[in-house]
Amino acid sequence: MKKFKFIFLNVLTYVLLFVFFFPIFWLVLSSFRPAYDLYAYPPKLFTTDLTFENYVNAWTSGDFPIYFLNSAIVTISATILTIAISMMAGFALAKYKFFGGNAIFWTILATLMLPLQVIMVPIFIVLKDFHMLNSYLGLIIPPAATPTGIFLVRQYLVSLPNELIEFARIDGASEWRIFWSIILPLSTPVIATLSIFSVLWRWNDFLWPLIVISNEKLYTVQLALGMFSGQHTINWSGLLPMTVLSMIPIVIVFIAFQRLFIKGIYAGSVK
Amino acid sequence: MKTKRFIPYIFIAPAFSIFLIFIIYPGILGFIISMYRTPYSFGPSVFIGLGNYFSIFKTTGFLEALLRTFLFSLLVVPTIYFSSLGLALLMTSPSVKAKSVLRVFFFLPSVLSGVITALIWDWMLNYDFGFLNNLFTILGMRNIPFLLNPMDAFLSLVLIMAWAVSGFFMVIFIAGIQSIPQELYEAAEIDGASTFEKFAFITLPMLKPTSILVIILSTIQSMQLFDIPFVLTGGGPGETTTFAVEKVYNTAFINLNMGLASAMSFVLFVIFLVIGLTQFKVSREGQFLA
Repeated sequence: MKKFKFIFLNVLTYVLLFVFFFPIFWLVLSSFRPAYDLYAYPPKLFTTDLTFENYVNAWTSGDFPIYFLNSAIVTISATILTIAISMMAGFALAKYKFFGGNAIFWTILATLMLPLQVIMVPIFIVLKDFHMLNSYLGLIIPPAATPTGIFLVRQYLVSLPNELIEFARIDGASEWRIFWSIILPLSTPVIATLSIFSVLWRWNDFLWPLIVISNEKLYTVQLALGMFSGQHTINWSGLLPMTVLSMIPIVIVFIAFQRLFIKGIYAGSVK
Repeated sequence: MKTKRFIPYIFIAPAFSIFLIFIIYPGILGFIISMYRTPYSFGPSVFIGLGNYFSIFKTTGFLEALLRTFLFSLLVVPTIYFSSLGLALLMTSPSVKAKSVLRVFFFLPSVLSGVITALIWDWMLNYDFGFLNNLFTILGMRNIPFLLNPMDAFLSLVLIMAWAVSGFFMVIFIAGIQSIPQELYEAAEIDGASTFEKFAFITLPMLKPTSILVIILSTIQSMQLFDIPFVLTGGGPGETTTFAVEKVYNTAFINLNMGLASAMSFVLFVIFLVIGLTQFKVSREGQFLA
């Protein structure tokens, strides 16, 4: 009976592993197969005929490197901006008592009730009025303010002892200096967690660039993939390597920092 | 302690001005736009009061999209619940080895974007070149038009979303399971409880706050789902996989009817608000996450 249970649970685990991992594996494997092989009839499932040709073509013909660069610029700048403004706001909310502080905190949390999905029309109009459609600024600035980020930082800083700040003040440090030389260095754990989530959100974002960008030169990787796959005849031997390349940064970040990912989820940063 | 009064406001200003300009102001603006007839967003608009709200329920197919979204949630939430709970139980079971490596693989789909998820499954389910249909051809079976038949496409999307998010909810369940005191199981073993009894009378009741959290979060996520169906089926065939958010998108950016789309958005906002407030009430009980 015990042995039966052991076998059953292990078989079940590996069946599920297959279900969860095989589709990803299949996509990666197919990206290395030559075009004539992908479209062969009768179809061939397994082959040793693998090539880098699709990758070379995807990278050298067309604008894929530009989309990649756009995604990198947006992801890195938005993450830096997110860290900067979340740290500052979280610090103010955690360590100062000031008129309206609570109201501001709750207002920020309440914006969780206005996800992009319900304000895409007016936000499009606001960006148009500010001439921020089809611009990096439009891609980077608005999504950088996240209630989740400010909440995470505030919760973290509340747990730091106030004496640190009091002593620094007695020594005559300015408030900015306290923030820069005491708070920031002590905040590396929360900065790391927030950075990883920000990189994930910004790199994977689709709806936001879809609304902001119509100029092909400013496409992010996700937007480009989404647009090209919507065409009537999909060029799979071009699309598959692009898809794999666009996964790589996220998979590397995930594998390298999985502990922080998991910690972030526990910390209540559940989106 | 005397500090200059204005200092905290300066620290908060950058973040708060973004919230004000790009979230709060659009939120109000959206409600105002919803009361105008805007044939083309750039032309002159006419105030029509609640006119858009009446017409969305009469002519536009929005009500159908909304019902479709509810049906989708109704199917996908239990699927996510059982698959993530099942994974979490396996990943905490002493009978399974190499769990820390396996967890990584189960979590992996959760970090992939909706667009990539859609492409991965397009390449699995595609009628002509997909893995499954190629396999059927080789086995001499008939191909299945997974994404071309309304019912199949709908059910495919349910399973694909469950595939994409189960690893994430597995992590939440694992945290819940690990926080259950071991003494409860030891006491039950002394009383001669079976594995199933321990699960039904200890694990499941102790996971109640976690379960509620998972159900509410996955309900919100499924109702806001946009990118996977947009890329995979384009809302089709016909409008059979066009969910509420995509309906708003199409109305605003393809039919260019910003007023009508804003009215639809407001209806969605009210629905999300109700779910969100429920979450807020409940997650105070599910404190382990905070």
